[in-house]
Amino acid sequence: MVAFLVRRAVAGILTLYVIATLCFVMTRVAPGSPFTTEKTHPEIIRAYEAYYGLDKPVLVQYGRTMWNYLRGDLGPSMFYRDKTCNDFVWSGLERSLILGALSAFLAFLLGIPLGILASAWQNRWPDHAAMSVSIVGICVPNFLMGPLLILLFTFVLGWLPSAQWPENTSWNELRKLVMPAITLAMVHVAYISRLARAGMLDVIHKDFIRTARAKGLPEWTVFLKHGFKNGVTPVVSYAGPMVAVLVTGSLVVEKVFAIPGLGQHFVTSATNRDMNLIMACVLVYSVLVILFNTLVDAAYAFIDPRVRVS
Amino acid sequence: MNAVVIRLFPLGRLALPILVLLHSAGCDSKPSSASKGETAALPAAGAAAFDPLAYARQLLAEAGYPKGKDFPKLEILYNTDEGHKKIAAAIQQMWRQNLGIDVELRNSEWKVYLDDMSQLRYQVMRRGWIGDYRDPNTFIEVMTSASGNNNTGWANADYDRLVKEAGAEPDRRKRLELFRQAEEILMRELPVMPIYFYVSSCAWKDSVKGVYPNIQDIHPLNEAYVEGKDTLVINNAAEIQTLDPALARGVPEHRVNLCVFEGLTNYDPKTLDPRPGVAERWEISPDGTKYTFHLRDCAWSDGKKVTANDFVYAWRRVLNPATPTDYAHQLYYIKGAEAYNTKKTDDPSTIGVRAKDDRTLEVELENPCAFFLDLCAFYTYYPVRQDVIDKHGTNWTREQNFVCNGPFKLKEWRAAESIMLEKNPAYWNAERVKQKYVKFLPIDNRSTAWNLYLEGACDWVTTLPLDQIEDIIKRPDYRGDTYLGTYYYSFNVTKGPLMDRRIRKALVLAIDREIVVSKITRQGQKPAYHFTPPIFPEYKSPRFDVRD
Repeated sequence: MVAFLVRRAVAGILTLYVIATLCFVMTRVAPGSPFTTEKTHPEIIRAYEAYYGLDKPVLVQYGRTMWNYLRGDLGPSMFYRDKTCNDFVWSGLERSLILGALSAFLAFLLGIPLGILASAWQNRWPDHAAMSVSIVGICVPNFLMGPLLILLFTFVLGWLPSAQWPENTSWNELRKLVMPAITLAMVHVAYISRLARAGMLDVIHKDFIRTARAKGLPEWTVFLKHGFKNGVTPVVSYAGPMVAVLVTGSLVVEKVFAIPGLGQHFVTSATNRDMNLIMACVLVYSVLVILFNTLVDAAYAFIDPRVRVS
Repeated sequence: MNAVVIRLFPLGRLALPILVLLHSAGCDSKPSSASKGETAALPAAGAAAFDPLAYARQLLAEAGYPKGKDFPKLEILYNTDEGHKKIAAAIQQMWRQNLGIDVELRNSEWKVYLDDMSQLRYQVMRRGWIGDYRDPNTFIEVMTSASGNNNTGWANADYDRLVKEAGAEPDRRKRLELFRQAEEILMRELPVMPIYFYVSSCAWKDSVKGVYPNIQDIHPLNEAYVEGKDTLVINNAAEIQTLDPALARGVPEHRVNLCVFEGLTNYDPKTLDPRPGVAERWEISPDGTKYTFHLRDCAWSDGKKVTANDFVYAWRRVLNPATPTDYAHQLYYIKGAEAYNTKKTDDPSTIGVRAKDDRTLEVELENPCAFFLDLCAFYTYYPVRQDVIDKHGTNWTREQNFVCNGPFKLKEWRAAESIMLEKNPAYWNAERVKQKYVKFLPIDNRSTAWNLYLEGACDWVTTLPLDQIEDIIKRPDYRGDTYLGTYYYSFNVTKGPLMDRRIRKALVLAIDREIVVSKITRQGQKPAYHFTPPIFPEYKSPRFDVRD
């Protein structure tokens, strides 16, 4: 296990280095400058470039950027003049982590039971009902889901505030997270329930399940003890990238619910040509993807002894 | 309108989309274009009424393209946005219908669009200009050949000369006459195609007091307050790029800066006329080039006195060529400022601003400047503290370091979430500041902000959702007003048929601006028949829709 983790760590760092380099090249090659506006003169842009070291040879810029990353410094934002990339990335990541964890939890909480339910009553009405929910989750995009929820819960029922991040931990404030979490989770609820259903259906026709039934075990034990552990493996492999996506935030959900998360910076930094912030976002996202994939691979070993971490 | 529509858009395959568009917008009920607008086109004395469309066709024929025959394909460039797209499509249709010219649309992402603009990689492109102060110069100056914002390739020596003379002219009426002559040249040459004049549109609750709609949409909050609440919540619609007044360049930054700093003068919230700010009084030399400001006894938020040297330092800092700022040119009215900023000298003492003593500031201008006191209220002219900036560098605007002299001070700035200001007890006029806290939100999604406003979580929204605009403008808390800005298109006059002035004029005349404002923008914008918005007292712009 330790050897596995070390190997993955080394591979991860190499991957990050390649990503950082590619990203560096792309930010320098992309047309447009972080400093242009409708009112900016060329001499002023030169002053900006000198200020941010962009007048130096590209290799020097590259060396500096990499050296700063090693020191944990993501560099100054080139668009938000008073802030550093660390300011945006860490506070955004914190919010996105909280919201993402909540939605991931919701996705498992709803998705797995729905899937099991559907497989237990395959092709009967609970199956159809569960799979209809899942189809809705897949089909309704979150830029529609969010406003629909707001319309219902804020303006028709008056139960929930329409947007913003909670100011404190009272229920009154925390309930602001309900709609964004549901919006983020819905599509994953859908996928997870379908994966769980397919996984379970695959398993319950296996010999060892027949053996369990033949032993006279109650049906729920067969299903949840013997079937579940094996049937749920496809969900686990889906969970890694899903959690990485959820915790790095979603532009749409952040825009609709005014969530100060990381997702919006992916897009706004690119449209602003804020080179440092683009790179910071991509790197943080890459770290998370690598991390969660490693965790998932390690988790396989626990769930399924046939899988060896090698 | 019926007749006009039919004439402009004879039924045909190509006309269909716009007819559908017009029909769905309910065009039949609108009054005829001749009955509204500022004034109808002025007919030449004794001549028949001016028909812009017939004249446009005539000019096009004179230029060698009768009915648009063999006219090379034109391309319109706009930055990606639904609103711009609709207008570009309308112009495309109008040129095709009215002149027989084929037009292609090209949209590009904002930064690429800006690159194409500055490199003149376009034929026709969408533009917009928002004035910085209340004087025609802020518009006329844009089209001088030395201006970095011209971006059309158009240069006219007479125009440049008139603008320069106007800058040096102390007499207001003569000065405006020089501007009029310059704009007349611009409207004859037409490197630009004015479409409409902007309106500001925002909404604030009736419980918000002490705020008034005005032409620059500038709202000092010195005396503003919201009834029954400690915190006035304003959606600023963007995360501000900076709190440093020397580096600021946009409207969201302006809103916050206006709360935390004060210049020599400040704005009257109703009229925007300059009032005494840090300077309690001033003297102006008879030739209008020397100002002596007498500073009041007032303090920074940390208790230190505001001195004349704070202004000297702040202005030199803005003009220092090493300071990366877009707005140094706002200070070019000061003697020696441009020379220092453009590295013609490296001695900052050559700039015409001196502290005679702690409470007396002497400013010398290049030329008399009619709006210098207005400028003194503008953020680029705000004082800043040298010791604070020297000590903290770019971190000086963080809440623990920030020192300011305005009615509010910085309590907390959460990146991309909110900026919380609290009343600054050290402000000289603090007893008139009624609001305890002001909170700025950076929400750029217009619908989200509008939801919060409807819900009561926000007292003031500075942008409105365009898909609901027709209902919103009927609300009593909708605050729309004429705005100091022009939406226009520019022509690249350096190549192709657009080098020909007659062709540009034909293109400019072949657009029905009434349709653009009544069917597409729909917020009470005024159609533009000249470049400078019609809001400067005593200044009347010459129009382009006349016979040459």
